[in-house]
Amino acid sequence: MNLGGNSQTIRQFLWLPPWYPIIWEELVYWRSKFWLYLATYMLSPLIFLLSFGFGVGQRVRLIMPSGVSYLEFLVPGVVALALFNNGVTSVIVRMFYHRLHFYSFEAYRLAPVSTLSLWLGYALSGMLRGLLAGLVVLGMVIFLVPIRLNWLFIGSMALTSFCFGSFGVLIGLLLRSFDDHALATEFFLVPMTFLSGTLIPVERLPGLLQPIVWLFPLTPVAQLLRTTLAGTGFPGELAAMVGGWTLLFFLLGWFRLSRLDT
Amino acid sequence: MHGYGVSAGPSTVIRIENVAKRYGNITAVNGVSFSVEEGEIFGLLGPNGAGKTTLIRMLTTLTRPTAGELFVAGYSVRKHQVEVKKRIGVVPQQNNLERELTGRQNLLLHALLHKVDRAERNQRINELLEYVGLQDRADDRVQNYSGGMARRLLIARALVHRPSILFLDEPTIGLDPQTRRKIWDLIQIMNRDGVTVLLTTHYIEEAESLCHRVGIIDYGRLIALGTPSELKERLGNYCVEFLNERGTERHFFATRSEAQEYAQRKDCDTVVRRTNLEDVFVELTGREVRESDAS
Ligand SMILES: Nc1ncnc2c1ncn2[C@@H]1O[C@H](COP(=O)(O)OP(=O)(O)OP(=O)(O)O)[C@@H](O)[C@H]1O
Ligand SMILES: [Mg+2]
Repeated sequence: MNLGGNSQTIRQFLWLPPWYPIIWEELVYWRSKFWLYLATYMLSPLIFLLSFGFGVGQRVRLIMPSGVSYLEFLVPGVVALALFNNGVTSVIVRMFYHRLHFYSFEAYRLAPVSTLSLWLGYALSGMLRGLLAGLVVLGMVIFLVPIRLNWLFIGSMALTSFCFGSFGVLIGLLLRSFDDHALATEFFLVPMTFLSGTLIPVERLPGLLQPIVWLFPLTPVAQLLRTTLAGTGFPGELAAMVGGWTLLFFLLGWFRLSRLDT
Repeated sequence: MHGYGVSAGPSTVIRIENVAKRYGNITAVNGVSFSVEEGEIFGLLGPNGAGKTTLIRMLTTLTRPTAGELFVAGYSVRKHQVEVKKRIGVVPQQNNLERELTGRQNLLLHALLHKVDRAERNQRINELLEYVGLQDRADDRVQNYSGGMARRLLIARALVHRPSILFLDEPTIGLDPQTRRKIWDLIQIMNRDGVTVLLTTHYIEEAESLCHRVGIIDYGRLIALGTPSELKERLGNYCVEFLNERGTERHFFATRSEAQEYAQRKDCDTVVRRTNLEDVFVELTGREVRESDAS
């Protein structure tokens, strides 16, 4: 066997994007844990739908801002939550363990790929995970609630999951310890889950909170998905807000990634 | 050539110029300069916390130096990270394999990251798995590997893309003697095939039998540099060793006859022997065991 480097140079292929290996690894995990993922992705949306939609919603007639039924209101919110929770969390967990626990993130940092490709690989794997979870929710909901899918809605889901994938990369890069992880969950992720107009309309929150929740990226997302699912046109402003968050997460994450030291 | 200073020859593949690294008020590396020539096996020796790993991490783009410049394969590590990364293989001190993947998947991931052609990929991976004796466990998850098996996989992974420069941070730590020798063979075979090697080690016999040149670093500074025989010669090729109330004392002499003459004047049991690299190391870095890291 020839082990050396100079006497024989390795042949290279050029047709795969440099972020592909990161997705490849993600898909290896998908393959080995597909049923677990599927069950996980079904569980919490089901709980939200049953407890909020068919439980609370049936008994307490929530007054909906635009006269839709609570269930119609709830479905896009639950989809938004699925994209958010799974997109963000999967990347955070993967980066967290790989950076701080197993050090395998180092192997990626040693690969001859640009920081941008590295960022993109992780963001895209979060996006895929979010989309998978979102589709699982839609697959369930279609039997329970009359909804009509359309391309604008699907497109918004894609944009949204990419946004959350990049959010996950940023948080994953900022965490320094398990404590940080708990902190991020308690102070950002949980409040966002309940206050961003996903399960309860923003208009029904205490007046003081209403402007504040618009500082959460999940708020425009829930509205965007709701409007596009209802098929009442394309809310350009909301899409621009989601795009803006994505850009911000990208810039901060990319900066952080390229400054990574130690 | 890219980035070389005028003084360096064209065959210098690693060049370190006045490099320092500080972490807060800890100075891990403190103004180190040396270079490694093409085709060399260069060993870095030093006590715990001396700064060896930090130096390797700076050379391999993982850590940024606080001061100084590093060049690898003719490229500035600061400016041309991707070009450097294409040409180097790295065996880290700490296992950084993907534990949920199998051994084979780890190598495949590495091959993908380095864009190794599909036609060559599988054959190369199989060859390497066989060479490090992991072909039977290749499809087990790495989390079920023993420490030595993980170490061997790390070495195989560093070779998948046929690097021309190899960095090994304590390559044989925790390995049984058979495997250690096998790794030594591997390093020498690669070197014969043209790979330049920079390794760190705590095993003096590893440095002595493997390395063409050795650098000893202590408290972040390079305190000696040369071939093993040069370093021994500087100390004196012969050693007289005897035990007294302060412990073992060693005295060094240029020739055997001088050593024997001295030994005969002593009225206790003495041993006259050739100086080894361990003597050099202990003389230069002091006798006490380091309790805490350099700071
Ligand atoms: N990320 C870091 N943050 C703070 N200090 C660090 C960091 N990395 C290394 N150091 C410090 O730098 C010094 C040199 O460490 P380094 O790991 O380079 O030593 P070493 O020669 O490889 O030691 P060993 O033989 O134990 O592996 C030590 O004092 C260490 O505590
Ligand atoms: Mg070390």
